[in-house]
Amino acid sequence: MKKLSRRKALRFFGAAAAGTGTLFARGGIAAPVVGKGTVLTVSTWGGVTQDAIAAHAGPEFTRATGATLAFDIGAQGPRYSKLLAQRASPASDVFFGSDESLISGLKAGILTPARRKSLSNLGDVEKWALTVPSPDGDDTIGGVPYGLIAYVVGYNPDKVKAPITSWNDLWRPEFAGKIFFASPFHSMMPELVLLAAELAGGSMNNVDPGFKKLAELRPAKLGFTWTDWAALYQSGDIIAATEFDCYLDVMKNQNYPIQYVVPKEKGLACIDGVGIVKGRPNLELAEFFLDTILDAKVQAGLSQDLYQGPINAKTDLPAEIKAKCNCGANIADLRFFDPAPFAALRPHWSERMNTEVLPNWSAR
Amino acid sequence: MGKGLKAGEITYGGGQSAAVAMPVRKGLRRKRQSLDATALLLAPCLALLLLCLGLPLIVILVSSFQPNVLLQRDGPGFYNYEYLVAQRYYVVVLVRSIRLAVLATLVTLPLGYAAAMLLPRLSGRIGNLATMGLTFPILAGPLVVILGWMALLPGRGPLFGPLVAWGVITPPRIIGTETAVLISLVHFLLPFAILTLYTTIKQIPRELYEAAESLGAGSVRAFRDVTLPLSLPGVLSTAIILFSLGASSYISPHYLGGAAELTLTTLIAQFILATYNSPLAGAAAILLLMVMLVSIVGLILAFRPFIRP
Repeated sequence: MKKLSRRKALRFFGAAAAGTGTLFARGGIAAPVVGKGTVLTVSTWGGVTQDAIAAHAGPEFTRATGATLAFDIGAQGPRYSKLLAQRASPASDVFFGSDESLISGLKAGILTPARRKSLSNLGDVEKWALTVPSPDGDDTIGGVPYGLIAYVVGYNPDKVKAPITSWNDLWRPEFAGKIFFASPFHSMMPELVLLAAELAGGSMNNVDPGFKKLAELRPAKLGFTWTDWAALYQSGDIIAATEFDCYLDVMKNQNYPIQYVVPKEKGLACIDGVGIVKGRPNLELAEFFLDTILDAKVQAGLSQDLYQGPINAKTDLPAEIKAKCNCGANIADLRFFDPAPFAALRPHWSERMNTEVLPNWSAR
Repeated sequence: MGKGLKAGEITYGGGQSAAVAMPVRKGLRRKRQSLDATALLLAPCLALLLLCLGLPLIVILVSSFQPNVLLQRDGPGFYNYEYLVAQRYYVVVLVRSIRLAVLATLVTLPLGYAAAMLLPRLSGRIGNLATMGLTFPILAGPLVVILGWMALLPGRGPLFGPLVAWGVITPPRIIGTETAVLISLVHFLLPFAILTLYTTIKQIPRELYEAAESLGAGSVRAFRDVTLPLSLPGVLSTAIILFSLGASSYISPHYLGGAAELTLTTLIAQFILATYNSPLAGAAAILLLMVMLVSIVGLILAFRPFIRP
């Protein structure tokens, strides 16, 4: 039998690789075939979020590209600070964060836009989800959305008899010293300042009434996530809380006596997204990962595990999951915000929270 | 001049012979060799400190003079520091940080002293178990300690819930206050106090107690005239350790105090993690360091008159 020459072997395997790449082409866009050993580092939240991304996006991504996913997990603030500190030599390839943080990252020069032509699923994304424009023109996009959650009010139905229908109900005397409220450094702080301003007759151009109104609130505990107040809720020290609906669904699943309501002024929509970290070698691989996250099947898996609304209009969800996620008719109950002004105003509003609101909250 | 001494060299003891001067020179040479060896042994540790502590401190110091998103200036200056001390709320935060550290030290020190005096008297298994139990917070780490108090301290939680249910007390509000922070700080700092003071007290020679007893001193007098004065250097070291750990604690104020009871450490975290304002965070960090250094120097000066050489 004739031996295969080195040249012929290289030609054969090269063709096989190209063919495999074509097989995994998505919407005419071939997956970058990088082979085993290449790792894409994903900066994201840990726990259920990391698990869901690994379970639903990981296999599809690895099958198409041969690369594997590694995770750098933590809260958004520390991960973003890490990117700032490592900007000369970042360790992560893609960054999960709120749309506001993606805008801040693009402005700070630690994130880079993705090319629209590399994102075959972008055409199926809901228009309300595209909140991160690119500073480099229409051929690119600043970051892609990943999921929709809503900030609402949770309460103990055994202890709260009069129904909660409005955000204003948080100021009811019966809730003084018995509610959990978002920390002044929470990702939803600017939205809550604007909401309080509007409840007090102000607006985006006049937020002073908002700070005054927030100073009148009487929270028992401030924090960032449901685990900050779960023990106090279980003991009955807290009977109502502002929180993301997906976490309240987690608490329901863990048999906490909790219900939640979308107030009549609407729930506060929070769009999380993914951006590409600037200065990393594998731009095409990162873009393919973003496209994978946008895929309808991956979105369905993420919604199922995380109770977040899908951002791909073609996502097909079972009825019981749809009931818990923000999608379809639920969108009408949500208020969407432009994150760009909040990204610019956050440092100043945080200072006003420190100097005008916190002294009242700690004085009680 | 004797053998081994060159002309013009200083002789010792007003013109001693070479036979006496030689051992003295050898002794000086040995002393210098010993110092060289000490410096050599200390060098890696000092190099590590310089690299891992000194350099970052310099970076933070330089950053603290830079303009930021809140204070936009043309060049470096002291404006970040001026801003922090001009804001009444931040002065309150600074005072709260020091107050918590002082209170934690004042509460932990006597408790640790008492435990350190008791431990040597417990022998065998009981002594070992007591040592393990008292030092468990160090082994478990501060986060486990704090999670435990988060579960115990709610007004209707397992600690106060039964009393509330029986109508003995109204539900106390402890979580989210300085009291909760202080409780967890004392809990976490106690093992440091016990271990440091235990070592100090154990080194006091037994013969001194026997001498005191033979001269008619009872246990109280022996404590007052023997144990307490000789343990003061250890008390000072312990106080410095407790104060430093208390003032620089982050996890206790973050989880048990919360955003409404900021300390300088949680404020620094807020500047870094929420508003990404490194210059202001750097200024707050240097301010904390300066206040801690001044406090520690003050503590040393206060103790000095009472410590016998």
